[in-house]
Amino acid sequence: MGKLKQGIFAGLFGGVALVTHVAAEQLTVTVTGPQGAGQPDMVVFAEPLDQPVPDSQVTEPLLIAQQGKAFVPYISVIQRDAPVRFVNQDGITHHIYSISDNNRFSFRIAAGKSQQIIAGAGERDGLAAVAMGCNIHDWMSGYMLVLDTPYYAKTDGQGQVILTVADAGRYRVNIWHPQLQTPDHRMRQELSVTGDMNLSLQLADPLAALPEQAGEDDFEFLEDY
Amino acid sequence: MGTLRTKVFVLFVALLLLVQALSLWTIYQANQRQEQQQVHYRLDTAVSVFRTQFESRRYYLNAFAQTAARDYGLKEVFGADGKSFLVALNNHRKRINADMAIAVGADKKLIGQLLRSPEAEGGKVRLGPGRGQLFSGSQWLADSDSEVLCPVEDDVYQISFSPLKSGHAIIGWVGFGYRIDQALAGQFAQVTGLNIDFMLQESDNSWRSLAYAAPFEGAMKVEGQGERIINGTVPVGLIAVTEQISDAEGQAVRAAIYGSRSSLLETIQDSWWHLLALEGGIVLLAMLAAYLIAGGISRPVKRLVEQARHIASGNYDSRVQISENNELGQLADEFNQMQQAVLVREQAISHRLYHDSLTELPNRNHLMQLLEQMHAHHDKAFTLFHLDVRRTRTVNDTLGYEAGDKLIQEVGQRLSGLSDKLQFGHLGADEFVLLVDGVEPQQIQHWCERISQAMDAPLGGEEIQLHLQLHGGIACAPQDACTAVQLLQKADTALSHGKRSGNPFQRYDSAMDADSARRLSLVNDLKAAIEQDQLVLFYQPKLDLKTGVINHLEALVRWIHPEQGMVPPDAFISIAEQTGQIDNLTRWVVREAARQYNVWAEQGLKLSIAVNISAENLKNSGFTAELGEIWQQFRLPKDALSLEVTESAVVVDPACAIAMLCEIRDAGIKLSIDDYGTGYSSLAQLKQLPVDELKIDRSFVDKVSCDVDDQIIVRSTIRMAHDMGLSVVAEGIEDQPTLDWLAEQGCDLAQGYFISRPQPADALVEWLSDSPYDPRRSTVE
Repeated sequence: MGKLKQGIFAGLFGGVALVTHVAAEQLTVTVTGPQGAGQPDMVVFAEPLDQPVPDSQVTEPLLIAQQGKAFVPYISVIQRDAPVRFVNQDGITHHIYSISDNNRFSFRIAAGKSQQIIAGAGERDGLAAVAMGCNIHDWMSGYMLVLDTPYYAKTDGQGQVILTVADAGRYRVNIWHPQLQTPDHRMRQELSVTGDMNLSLQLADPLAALPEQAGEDDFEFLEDY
Repeated sequence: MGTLRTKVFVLFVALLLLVQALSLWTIYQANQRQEQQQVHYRLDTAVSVFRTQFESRRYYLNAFAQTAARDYGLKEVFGADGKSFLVALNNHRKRINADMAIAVGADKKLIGQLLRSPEAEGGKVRLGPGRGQLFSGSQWLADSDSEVLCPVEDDVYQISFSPLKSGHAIIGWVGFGYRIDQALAGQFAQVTGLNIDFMLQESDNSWRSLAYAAPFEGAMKVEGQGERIINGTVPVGLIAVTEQISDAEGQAVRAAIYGSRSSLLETIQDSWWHLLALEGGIVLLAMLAAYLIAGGISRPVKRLVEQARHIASGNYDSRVQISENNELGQLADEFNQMQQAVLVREQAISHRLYHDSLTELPNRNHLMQLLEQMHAHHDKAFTLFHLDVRRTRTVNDTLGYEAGDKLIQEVGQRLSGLSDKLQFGHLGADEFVLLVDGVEPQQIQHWCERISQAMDAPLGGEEIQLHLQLHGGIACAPQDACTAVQLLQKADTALSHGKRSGNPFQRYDSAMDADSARRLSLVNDLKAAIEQDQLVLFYQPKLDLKTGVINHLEALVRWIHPEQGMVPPDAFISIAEQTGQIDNLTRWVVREAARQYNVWAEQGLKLSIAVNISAENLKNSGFTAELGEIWQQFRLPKDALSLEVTESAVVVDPACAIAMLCEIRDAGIKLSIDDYGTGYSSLAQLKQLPVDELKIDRSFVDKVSCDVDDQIIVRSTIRMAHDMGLSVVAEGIEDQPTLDWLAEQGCDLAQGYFISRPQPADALVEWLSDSPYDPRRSTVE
């Protein structure tokens, strides 16, 4: 458990560190729900519009745990071509798969084992929302958002996120969530970044219900197996 | 026909039919409700069956679609290898033998649809149209549980979709479906026994049949039936319901479920027919019963009616027998009693009709019938006696009607006692009829004697003894008459004749008819005779036995008829009396006598003339005055004329007659009693009579010279008359000894053929001159 958190933290930190290294502007985005409360766990990413998208510099794989027969975290964000490691922390085999066009994969992970893959490419508009499932545990559902841009983060408990972009310029700021009630589960706003900026975005509608990654059946007998 | 029987029958049947109709109506209503319930139940069940069938298919498809959608093998090839995916999809389709399999991408574009042709067409699978196009039914994809009917080409499929997921993300849909086809319809029809017609609404709102099945193979489908039912028109003879399967625009699908009402309600109908037959039977039986009951009521009435007819036609023999102990029975008893009463009364009436109430003897009606019957037997000869009791009027007047009735009853009884074999009757009043077989004169004579003998004994009254005397007219059938009426007339003619001629029994003679005719002509001619001086007076002298001269004459009227010559007074005086001409006649006679008296008086011949007056004259209250006028007119001395009145004239109505006679005497006119001794006048009456003279009837005088009895009568009469201060005239002197004897006895006057016949005035004067009795001579001497 501690190990997992450490990994995630390292991943996030790595991205930020890179930006910090180039040393430039900080874009603070606050996402609020329709009621005005901060909306957590929203993927916010900025796409540079007047400069090339930098390649992924991440070497450490992104960890996606299978814990309690659920994907943890539910949403993972990764730049294309970056490594992803599926860590089975359950005492049961998982058969993780995705049939998203550029990110098809399918493998079994025995209990306590892990499997590493390289994220594929974005599919359109700079992202691929890779829906993942487990063939053994039907209810398991997780998303891996594969982005072209390296500027991304998930909102904190207050719905806030700070993106550090390399250079000032025009950016398109996106909010993505699989349950966001827009046609492509995405909100966009273009803006010119000329220094540290604050951006507030409010959802028109509340999110759709999150899928519950819980077994419809209680396989208690398997616990004793 | 308003007969009682019909009425009772009609009432009965009407009531019965009403009750039956009510019960039938009630049962019919119940049946209708039952039918309605049955129909509802049947259709509800059918709809329910259909829904279950359809739902189970949907569930089956849905479950399978979900299973298939979760098949990783399918997922793996989804979107990657189109061909492989369709093969995999088809594999799944085959597992449930679906008619259709469909795959739609996340972009809701149709990836492909596999359609299997019907079994009959080989069951080949082919790729449907619209690949790569936006799936037209994408609205169904959101809710996988919705019932989806998807029209493809000409068919409609029941489809269930299930999303194909990658984790929770939907990457597409797969769906499996069954065609709405003959198989579905057939299954339904077989289970429910009803027709089902699946109808699809076309773009022009018309309905097209997708599939149809009948419960029985080979049943002809009626075109347009389904559409009609869906449009809300249930054809006659059908039960139907419409089940809406889908009402989505452009693909509304409905099922018309229907069946023949008759086949559904067959058992109800059967029981209905049984019931009708039963009711019909009951109605017939009840009608028969009603007929019999109506007959039972009307039969006695009919019998009574018949009996009434019998009675009406005079048949009293039959009795009506009704054993029922009810009102009709009572009526029948009353009827019989009434019949008895009517019979008794009719017998009484008919007895009265045919019998005389006084003598209880057969009356004229009876006799006429009897005579008709006897005449009907032409060969049978019989004799009819028409008998008339004499002097009944006198008896009635003097002794009262009670005595008269008694007299007639006595005669009747005596006649009935003659012989049992006699037919006789009482014509009425004092007339009787006797019928005797045979017409031989001896026989008739024998019967005349017997009748006379029967009447011989006098009828003893309380104070007076009455002599029964009869007049009889005799006519014989068939020689005298050919009808009953004629025969009776002939006998009556003989009777009248006998009465006139004084014969107690008079045999009819055809000459009498002529006599009667003459009489009839005299009746007509008498008036003219009086007016035209066809009458003349003859005079018969009365010899004064003391002086030996003739100072008195009796005037006797004669009629010299222009055709019949001399008519005797007997023939016309009675006619004058009966026809009311006696007053004229008497007036004429008195005037003529007065005139003659004056003629003789002028010649110095003083002859007192006696004139006969009739009893009828005494009824004329102006008679005395008339006489006075005549005396005055002819200036007559009081003793010029005297009046002779018969004893019988006084007997008929003594009080009136005596009053009138007193009036005449008071006028100074002399009166004589004529025919004394024949009228049975009592001495008491005689004493009252205001007469001056008494004429002894010729019947006492003509044999007085040899008959001692007559001598006693005449002698005592003369003495009695003299004692009473009356002079005495003897009539009918025909020989000298009689004249001598009378003179010897002190008789005052004598009259008779021995002295002179009645002669006309001239002849008399001539005769008188030649006779020794001429008063002139005596006065000369």
